[in-house]
Amino acid sequence: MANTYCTATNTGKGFFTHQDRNDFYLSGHPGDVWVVGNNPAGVSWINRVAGTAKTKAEAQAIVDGIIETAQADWDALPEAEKAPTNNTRPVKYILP
Amino acid sequence: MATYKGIKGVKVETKASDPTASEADGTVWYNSTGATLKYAIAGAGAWASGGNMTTARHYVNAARNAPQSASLVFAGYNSGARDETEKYNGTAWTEVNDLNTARAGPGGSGTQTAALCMSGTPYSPDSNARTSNVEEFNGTSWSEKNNVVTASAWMGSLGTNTAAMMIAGDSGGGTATTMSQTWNGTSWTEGNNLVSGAVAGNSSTGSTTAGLNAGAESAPYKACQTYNGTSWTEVNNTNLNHSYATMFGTQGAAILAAEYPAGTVVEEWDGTSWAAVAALATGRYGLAGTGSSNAGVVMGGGPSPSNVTEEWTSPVYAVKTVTVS
Repeated sequence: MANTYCTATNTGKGFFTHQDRNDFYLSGHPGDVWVVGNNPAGVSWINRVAGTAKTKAEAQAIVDGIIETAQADWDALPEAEKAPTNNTRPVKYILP
Repeated sequence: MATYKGIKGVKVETKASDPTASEADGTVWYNSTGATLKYAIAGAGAWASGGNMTTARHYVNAARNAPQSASLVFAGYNSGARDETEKYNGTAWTEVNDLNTARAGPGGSGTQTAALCMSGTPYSPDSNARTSNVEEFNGTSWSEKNNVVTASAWMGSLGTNTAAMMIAGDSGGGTATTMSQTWNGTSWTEGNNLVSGAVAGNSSTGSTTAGLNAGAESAPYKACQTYNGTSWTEVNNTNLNHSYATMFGTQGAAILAAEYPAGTVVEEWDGTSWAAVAALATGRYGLAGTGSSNAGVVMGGGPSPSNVTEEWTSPVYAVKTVTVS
């Protein structure tokens, strides 16, 4: 399995370092979901930031839930605010 | 058998602890504590987390000439236009005096102690509204300055508080523009237009005599142009789209980061062409950035208003252990 999944709150400076980024894949997603490269450095990082391990399905469900809420918020906007090309309806996506 | 002294002319130094990686770049030493042979190298650039902003928002801008460790972010959008201003010290953000006019998607220039916030949208009554208002920050508070010639939002901006530019952007109703306006410390004048077509959601960096502009929310998506103080010239395109992104650095060495609506893509400009470099950890748009192509910082952004900061460092130095197998 190339990636592993967790939730963790980004505490700011030092939450992930340049060395972390060079040692394993890392990407942040809505709902404090993090996709982490599944190697020893990635697993060590999850422990360091007190991450809560999730299955891919669990992580995907969290992200989907956040996006569904954003979609509902967007749907409730006045039509004029839906028109700009920089305010398109949020779209669900598949975690890597 | 070749020896280290034979190759380098010196013996391998013995050290009880590892030196700083950047200072030891290119050298080898024997760590007597760990009984290991070590070396330091310069690796590719990478992003690390920075301190979180105190107020999450997107469509922010910044004092574009500020360094990584002394940035200034202002304005933005989160349930309406924002007036918050925050200073960064390389570790944490601190809120300081607010703008007089709340706005989103403004231009920005200058430093943490001498900045300019120009135009943008007050989001009142809606995002099509524009303000011509310009404010100057003196390190403590904001004061009113002469208005821009033509109001815009989501434009490129660059320069200092006494020599700045506002480049293209959306003049309202989704109308992309080609205009460039120059600030001389007192007033704004119209300059020569961009040559690649109208753009909004573009990004700029550099100075009023050596500027760089790239990115757009619509065609020409990947166009890149340089400015010589008088006119714009087309140069090599970006490889990827970068709308509502941010750019920091100079005309000769810049970083262009992010893409609407949640792109992590980053490219580096070497004065001639663009090349992909390490991606952001958190995809976003409507962020701001300051610093150089060696040491920069980006902050804020959407889709959900974010307080996340990431710091760019290139190269990243590392201490490695020599392994023999």
